[in-house]
Amino acid sequence: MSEREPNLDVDVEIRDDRTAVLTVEGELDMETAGRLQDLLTEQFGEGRRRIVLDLSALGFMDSSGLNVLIRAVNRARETGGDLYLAAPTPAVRRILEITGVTTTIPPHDGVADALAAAGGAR
Amino acid sequence: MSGPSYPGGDPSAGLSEAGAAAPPTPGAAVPYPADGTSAVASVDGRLAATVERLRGEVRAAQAAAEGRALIELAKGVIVERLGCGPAQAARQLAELADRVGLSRLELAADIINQAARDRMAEAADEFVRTAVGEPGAPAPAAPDASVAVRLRTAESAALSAGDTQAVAESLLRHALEPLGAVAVAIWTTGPDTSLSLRGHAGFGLDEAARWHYVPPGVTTAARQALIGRRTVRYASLAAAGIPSIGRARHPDGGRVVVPAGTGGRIHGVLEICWARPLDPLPQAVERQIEALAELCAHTLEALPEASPGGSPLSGGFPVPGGHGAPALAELSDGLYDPALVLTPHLDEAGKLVDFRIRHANAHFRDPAGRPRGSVDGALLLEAYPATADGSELFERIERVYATGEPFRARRTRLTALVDQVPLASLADISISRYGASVLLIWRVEDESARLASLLQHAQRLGRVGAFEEDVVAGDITWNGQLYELFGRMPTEPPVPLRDLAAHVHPDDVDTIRRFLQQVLHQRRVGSAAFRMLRHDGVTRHIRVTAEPAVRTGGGLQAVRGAYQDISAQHWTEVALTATRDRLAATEEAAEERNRLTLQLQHAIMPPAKPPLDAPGLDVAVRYRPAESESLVGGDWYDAVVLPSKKVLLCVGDVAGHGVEAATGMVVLRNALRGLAVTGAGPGQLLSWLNGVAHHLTAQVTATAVCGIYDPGSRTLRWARAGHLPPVLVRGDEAFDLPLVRGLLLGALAEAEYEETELRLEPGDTLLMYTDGLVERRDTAVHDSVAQLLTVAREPSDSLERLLDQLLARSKSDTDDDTCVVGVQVS
Repeated sequence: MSEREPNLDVDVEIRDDRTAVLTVEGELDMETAGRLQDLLTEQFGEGRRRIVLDLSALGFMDSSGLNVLIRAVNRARETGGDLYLAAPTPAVRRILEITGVTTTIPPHDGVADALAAAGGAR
Repeated sequence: MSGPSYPGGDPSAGLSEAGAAAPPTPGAAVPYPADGTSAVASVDGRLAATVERLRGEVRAAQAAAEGRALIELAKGVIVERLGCGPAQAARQLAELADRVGLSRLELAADIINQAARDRMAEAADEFVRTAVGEPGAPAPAAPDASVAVRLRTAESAALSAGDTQAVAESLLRHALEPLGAVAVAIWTTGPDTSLSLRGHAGFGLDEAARWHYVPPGVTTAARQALIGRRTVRYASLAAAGIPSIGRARHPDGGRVVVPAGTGGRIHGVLEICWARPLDPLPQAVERQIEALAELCAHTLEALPEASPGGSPLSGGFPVPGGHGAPALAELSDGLYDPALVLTPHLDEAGKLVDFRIRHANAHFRDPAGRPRGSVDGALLLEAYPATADGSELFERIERVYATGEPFRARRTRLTALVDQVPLASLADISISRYGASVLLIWRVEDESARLASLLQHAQRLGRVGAFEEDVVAGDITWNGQLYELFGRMPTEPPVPLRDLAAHVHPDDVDTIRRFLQQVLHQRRVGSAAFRMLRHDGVTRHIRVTAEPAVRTGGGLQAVRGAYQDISAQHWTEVALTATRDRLAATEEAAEERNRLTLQLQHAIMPPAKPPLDAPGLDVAVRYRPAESESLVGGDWYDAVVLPSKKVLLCVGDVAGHGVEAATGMVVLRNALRGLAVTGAGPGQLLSWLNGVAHHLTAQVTATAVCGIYDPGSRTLRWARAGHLPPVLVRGDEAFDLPLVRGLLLGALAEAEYEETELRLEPGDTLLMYTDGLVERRDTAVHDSVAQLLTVAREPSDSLERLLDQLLARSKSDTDDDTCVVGVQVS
């Protein structure tokens, strides 16, 4: 594990005072999950409750990554917001299906769809 | 002193120093020890060992002359002490004898007594002291005074005697006639507790022939001593109304009957006959007689099994030689009941302190659920500390070993410690002695009792108490374990749910109210963790889970559920957290944490296969920790037979690694085991487990697949919580089961799990595994699973081999820990 370079890039785009899009690229695993967690916590701290995660460039996700998603969705929903997943790659989509996460966070085809859903929930 | 070289000069100086306590006067052969110690104390042990060795040599040589054997022994002591040769030792002995005015024989007895300091010597010592009056004072030149010589002569004769008959004759002539006795009998005990007369003197041949064999169950003087395992004295045999050899000739004569044993085992009985009624013997004489009995025991132990034509009394039962354990082990494997072969374990002083488990037979099942290998070879009291108290099993074994009298009893209470919790069961017990081994056989009463104990086992492991409360009729049913959890007597009324708040810590009252609100009013499954305050002042951490049963009309009919004592678990978690906090930050700390985690994993899931007794089902398991210790995490498996005879099969994976993941694993595995006892289906079990994960662990998610297999119908009901579905191998086909609906555990407060059923065919193999087996960064899960199926399809000669293959050819690259459970229908 130690020989692996942490491989995760997260780009944060603030859409409005309640909405942010986080583009997650690389691998979301035990090494990198903490970074995404921190960025999400920051968004919640600034009052943004509607978070879109663009997963189109995420190649791998393990249970630690899933845990971050689940904490985020619970936190968002507790405060009247939600978490939206956009365009997961086939590998990541399969993980979401196996773990049943798709039943509680249905993925959207793209960021536009996700933002539309977020807007509809307003 | 014990060195091999003696620095020139007069070697006798060394000896006279050593023999400083020797009396200068002839006659008083044995000195009164001035104090407990002497200059030779430090080498006593070695000398005693030498004496023992020399005795053996003497025995082997069948030394013809009694006196010569004694002198040889003494020479051996001198050789050892002065480091000289035998010839020089002989000269030393002669010189010394001349110098102190003793015969060589007397001096030899004296030297041996000094060196050996054994029981014989003590007895002689005391006898002389009493007989002579004043300690250390010169004794009158009476025959009594040479007690030491007499005893040593008897001993030497016994050791060199060819048979027990010669021993008896020698004992009577040298040691017993001086005490006024007129006859002696030496009995040996048979495996059936019969008694055979192996040596006699003074009774006459006709009487001996009449008494050559005493069948088991006939109460004679000798049997009283054997069964009672103590010396018995009869002032008059006729007055006591006890039959025995020689009673016709000396009806009013007294008897002293002494069990002759070594190392906890009675080899025979020494019976001494007086012609006249016997007054209580002085203590010194009693000790002397006990010493003689011990001598008898040594000779009986050492003698060959039968005396071919040597004894006038042939017949009777042979004394089996050797410990016979290997043959007995083989025999025990042919039994259909669990059995242990035990051999005595003596301490340094030759006292029986424990038994060694030499063999656990093929049908052996450890009541505590440990594998056979962990019991085989252990000491009985170490493996089963509870045998010492309560069940008194140890005492019974000890008694059987000592007397040879078999013990059989039905419905005996056996207690085993399961994780420090005493687990009692009723069993039929048989204990018998063969040679120097003891065979312990037991049969747990019947199948239902066995299952009941399994249920107890499962419940106690999970410390689960079950209840059912009919809210309409007001009837409450508790199982025994629940009374224990609440610290109530079974005669006291159970606590209704509505009164539960009165039994909890004030801070937890609200928790209980919310829980009751959910179950009784919202009629939903509820779970709560709280601190129970018991009458006896004990506080326990308890989790309660309850499920409402609703009438057709919609009203509440009953509530069913279970309380689980999670105190131990709670404190484990507290302890782990404390350790973790204490160790934070440093490198060593990280290593220590990893070690802790690994230990925890191993403690929960020993690498060995769990004993599982399910008809028609083979179970194999593998747990492979991550290669890097820091990644050891939260994988678990479980395979256990439930009270319903169905089998719980499960693998799970707590997200993350390290202490937190391992702790979460402990919580979930224990909880599932406990919940499964309720008999609920896998969907319901996962639903409850989801509640446990969500409420009772901090921010932990986990995946699991849970199956309940019914061996009767060969059906598997299973459900999954975010986990990869099981793989079915049927013939040369392998496929994964459908991805039925089920969210990972702990994500939401409530979740439902789709349950599905699969009927297995004979020969089918089902595999449950964690993603350590398939997870790859560069490959979609689908392709990794396809690769797994390819390996599973390949023919394999056994389930164990298949699992090894799966692990060996796993393409995983994430170094995650891995669990695989395989079951095969036979």
